[in-house]
Amino acid sequence: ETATKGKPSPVDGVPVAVAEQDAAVPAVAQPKAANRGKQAVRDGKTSLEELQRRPVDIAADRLEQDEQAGWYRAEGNVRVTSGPVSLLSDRVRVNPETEDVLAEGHVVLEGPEGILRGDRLAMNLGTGLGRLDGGSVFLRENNFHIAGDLIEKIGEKTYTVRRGTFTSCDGIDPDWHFSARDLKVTVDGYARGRHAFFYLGGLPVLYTPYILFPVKRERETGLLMSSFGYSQRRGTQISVPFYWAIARNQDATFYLDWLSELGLGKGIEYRYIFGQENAGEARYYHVSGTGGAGDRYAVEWDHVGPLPGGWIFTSDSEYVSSRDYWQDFGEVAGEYNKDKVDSTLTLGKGWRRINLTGQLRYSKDLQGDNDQTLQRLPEVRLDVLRQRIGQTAYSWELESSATYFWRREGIKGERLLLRPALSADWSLWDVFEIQPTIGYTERLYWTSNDGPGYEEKGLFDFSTRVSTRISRVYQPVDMRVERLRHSIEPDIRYEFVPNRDQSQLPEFDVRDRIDARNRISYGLVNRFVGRWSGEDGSPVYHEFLYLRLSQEYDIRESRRSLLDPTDEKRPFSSLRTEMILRPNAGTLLDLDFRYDPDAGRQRFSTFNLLGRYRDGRGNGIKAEYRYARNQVEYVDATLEFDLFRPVYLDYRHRYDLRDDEELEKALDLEYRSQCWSLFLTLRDREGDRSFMVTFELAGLGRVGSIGGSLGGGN
Amino acid sequence: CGYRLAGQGTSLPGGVKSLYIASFANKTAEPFLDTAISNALSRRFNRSRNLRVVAEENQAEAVLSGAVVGYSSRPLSYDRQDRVREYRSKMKVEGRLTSVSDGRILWQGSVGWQEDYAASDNLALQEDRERAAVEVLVERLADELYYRLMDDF
Amino acid sequence: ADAFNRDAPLEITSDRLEADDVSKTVVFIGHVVGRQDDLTIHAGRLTVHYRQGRQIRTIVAEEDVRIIQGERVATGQKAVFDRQEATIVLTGDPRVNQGKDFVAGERITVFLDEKRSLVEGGEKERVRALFHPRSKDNGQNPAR
Repeated sequence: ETATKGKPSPVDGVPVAVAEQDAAVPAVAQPKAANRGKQAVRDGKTSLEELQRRPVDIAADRLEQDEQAGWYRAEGNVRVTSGPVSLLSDRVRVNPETEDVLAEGHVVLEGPEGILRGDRLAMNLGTGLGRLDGGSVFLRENNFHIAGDLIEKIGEKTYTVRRGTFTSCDGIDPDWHFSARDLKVTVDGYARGRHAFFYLGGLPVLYTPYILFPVKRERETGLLMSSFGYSQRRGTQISVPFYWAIARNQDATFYLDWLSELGLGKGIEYRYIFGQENAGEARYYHVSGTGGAGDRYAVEWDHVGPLPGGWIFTSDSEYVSSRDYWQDFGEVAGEYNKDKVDSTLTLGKGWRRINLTGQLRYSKDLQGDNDQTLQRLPEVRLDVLRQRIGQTAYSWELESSATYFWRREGIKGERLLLRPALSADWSLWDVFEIQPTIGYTERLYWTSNDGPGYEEKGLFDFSTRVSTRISRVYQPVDMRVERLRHSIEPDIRYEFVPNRDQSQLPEFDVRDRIDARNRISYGLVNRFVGRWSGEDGSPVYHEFLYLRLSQEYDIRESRRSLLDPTDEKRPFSSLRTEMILRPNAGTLLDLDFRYDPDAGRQRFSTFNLLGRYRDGRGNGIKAEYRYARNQVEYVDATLEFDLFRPVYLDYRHRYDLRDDEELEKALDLEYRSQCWSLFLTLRDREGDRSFMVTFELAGLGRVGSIGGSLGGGN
Repeated sequence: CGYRLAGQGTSLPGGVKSLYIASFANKTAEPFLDTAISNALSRRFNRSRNLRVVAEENQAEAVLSGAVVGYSSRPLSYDRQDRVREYRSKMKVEGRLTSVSDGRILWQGSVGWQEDYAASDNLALQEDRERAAVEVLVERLADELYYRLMDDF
Repeated sequence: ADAFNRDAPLEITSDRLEADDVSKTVVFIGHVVGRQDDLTIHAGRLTVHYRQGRQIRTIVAEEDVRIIQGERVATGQKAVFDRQEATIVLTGDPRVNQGKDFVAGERITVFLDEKRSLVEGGEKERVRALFHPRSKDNGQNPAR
C-alpha cells in the first residue's frame, strides 16, 4: 500500500527554530477536529465550474416566467442561491440560458470571495463577472472593503472601482482609508489608483497622483508608516518612510530619519523580483553627520538568481564606511554589536555530478585591525561529487580549489588544492555497514615575496566508519501514539593522518596545517519516533527524543612517553551529550554538554541548554543558557504573551553570568487594532537606552520576499 | 528482546528498494553547500544495507532530489562587553522522493539542524570553525533526511 | 411544442357524468381523465361550463388535479381552464414539475398562448423555484 506520507506541515504556525523538524504533530489536548460540515470553500476557479452545474434556487413573493424572452422575473425580497453564492434583492431577472442576472434594490450578493452590496447589480452567474452600481465590496480573504459609484468585476479576482474608497478597516467610519478617482484591485495582487488621497479617520493626510499597493493579507508585512523615539546614542529620532511601489515586481521604501545626535539619515530599501526567481533587495543608508562628525554610510545587497546557461549568481554583501556604524545604527542584538561585516559574491553552475562555484569574499573586521584580515579574492572550486564506480561497492570523489588569498599587510598568495578520495561501502555479515575512505590532499602554493614562494606538500588521510542500526517498534496501549519505534545506532569511526611537517607552508587556513591524527571516535544515537494516523488517515511521524552520546579516544595521546611522570596522558576526550526532546509541537528542550571525566572540579567543559514552550495562541517562553569553561556563561530569555489582548507583549532579557552584567532588556508592546498596529519598543542595553513608537497599516503588504531591516537583523 | 536489525520491515515510502540520488542544489547565498550536502547524502545512503543506491536514474525506482534552502550564521552569546563569543550556524534542506515510473511524489519534507562554534579575534580561524560546523551540519542533515525517509514503520 | 391548439377535440372519461342543461354544466365525477391535443388532465371531479351552442366557456378540475403536457406535470387542488383567456389557474398548493426542476407557490397562472406563466406567493407560502442549468448542447428550456 503506497500511502503518500502525511506531508509534514508547520504545526499551527509554530516555527520550530531549533533543530528544525517540520513534523505534523497533534496538539496533545486538541480533540479530533470537529467536522465542521461547512461546505469546503474552494478558490474562485473551481467554484465557478461547479456554479455552472449547480442548481439555481429561487424564492420570492412573485415569479414570472416568459418563455419567448427566455427569462424569469422574481419580485418581493427575492433570494437566489446557487451553491455557495446567494443573491438577495427586491427584484431579480434571471435568464437561465445565458445565466445573466439583473438585480435591483437592496442587492446583497454573498459568495466565497466576499460580499457585494449595492443598488443595482448586472452580472453573469457563469463567468461571475458583473457591474455593481453605487455599492461596496467586502473581500473576505484580505478583509478589504471597497466602495464606489461603480464597481465592476472584470476578472476572476479583479475589480475596478470608479470614485472608490478602499481600506482593511471594518466598520462604518474606518480608522484609515484610501480614496481614488479610479481604482483597480486584484485580490492577492495589487491595488492601482489615480489621484488618491490617504485619510486618517476622516482627515486627508496624503495625496499621491498614482498609487499601487500589493494587497496581501499576511500580518507581519504591514506597511510601515512613521515612527519617532529617543535613544541616548541617537538622540531624538523621527523617521518618516515613504513607500513607493514602482511596478508589480519592484517596490522601494525611502526613509528620512532625523537623529538629533547623529544628523540627517537618508535611506532607500529597494526590493525586486525579475522573472520567476531573480529576487533581491538592496539597501543604502547615508547619514550626514552633525557637529563636525563625518558622513557615514552602509550599503547592502542580497540577491539570488539564475543567469542564462544554468549559472546562478548570488550576492550577500554588506559594507559600512566606519567601524562604529553598527554601534550607532544597529537596533537589535547581533546588529549593534556586530564584530565583522562580510561581502560574498558567488557564481556557480551544477552539472549532473559536477559542481563549479566561484566566490569573492571580503570581510571587514569591525573590532580588530583590518590590515591582517585574510580575503579570498577569488576562491574557485570544481568538485566531482561522490559517485559509484560502475556496479562495484567503490565510489570516488574529487575536491579541487584554486584560491587567491589577499590581505593588505602580510603574506599574500595562491593555493591550488586537490583532494581525490576513494571509498567503499561494504557490509559485514549483513549486520554492520563499513565505509572506509582514503584520500590524498595535494597543495601547491605561489606566495608573494615575503612568503615562502613556491611550495608543495601532499599527504594521505584514511578513515573508516563502522555502523549499524537496531530498532524495535512498541505498541503502547495508553499513549496517544499508535506505534513508538526506538532505534539505536552505534557508530565507530577511526581516522588516521600521518604526521608531516608543514611548517614551511604559508598558513592561510586550516587546510595548510593538516595535523596528524590517530583517533577513534565512537557514538550512539537513540531516536524515539511516534506514529499515529493524521486527519486524512495517512500516517504522521514525530520524533519525540533524539539522544546522541559521542566521545573520542586519541591513540597518539595515549602513546606519549610512558616514562615521563609529569606527562598527563589524556587520550579520552570529553563525553558529548546532545539531547533534543519534543513532547509536542509547542515544547522543546535542547541539551548539549561536554563532560570531562578527568577534569578535576569543573567537570563540564561546555553546558548549553535551550528550553521553549509555545501554546500556539501567541503565548510562549524561550530561555537559553550558554556555558563554556573560562569563556562564556550567558543567559538569553524571551517571553511572549497576549494575555492583555489587543496588546501583545514581547520581553527579552540577556545577561552575562560570568561577570554579572546586565547586557540588554528589551520590551516590545504591540497594540493590535483591527486594521492597524501601534508598536512601542523600550530597550536598555550597553551604552544606550532608547524607546521607539511605530505606526503600521495592516493588510498592505510589501513586494519583497527577502525581509529584514537595515543590516538584516537576526 | 525484540530489537531487530534495521532493514527488515522498514523501507522507503512506497516500498521502494532502489534509489538514485540527484545532486542537491544550493538556493542560498553561501557557496559550496550543494557539494557538501550531496556528498554527505551519498555517504549516508550508500552505507545503508537495505537500500540499493544506483548510479543511473533510469535504473532506480525512485529519485531523491532537493536543495539547501536556508543557511544562516548569527551571533549566539556575548561577553560582559556584549561582544559576540559564540555563533550559531543553521541550515535547512528540503527533499523530495519521486517515483520514476509515474512521477508521483512518495515523500516530501524539510529537515533543519544547527551547530554552534566559538568566535575568535582571528577572523580566518573563525571562518575555519564555521566550515567545520557546516561539515557537521551536512552530516547530521543527511542522517535526518535518511531517517525521515526510513520512518515508514 | 408549439402554441396550445384550442380547437383540438377534447375527450373526457370518468366514472359518472351529470349534465344540467339549465345551468349549462356537465360534471364528471370519479377518476376523471381529460385529453386535448398533448394535454392530459386527471382529477377527482371535472365541471365543464359551456355557452349557447355547446361552446365551452371554462373547465374547473378539483380534487388532486394533475395536468400533464409533455415532460411537464402540474399538480394542485383546483385548476380553472378559461378558453377565452387561454389561461389555466392552479391553486391549492400548486406545483409545476419538470424533471428535477419545479416551481411552487400559492397560485400559478399559465398563459397558454403567450408561453408565459406567473407564480404568486401569499402569506402562507412564498414562491419557490429550482432550476438545473441545462448544459448548452441539448438546449431544452425547463420553462417550456
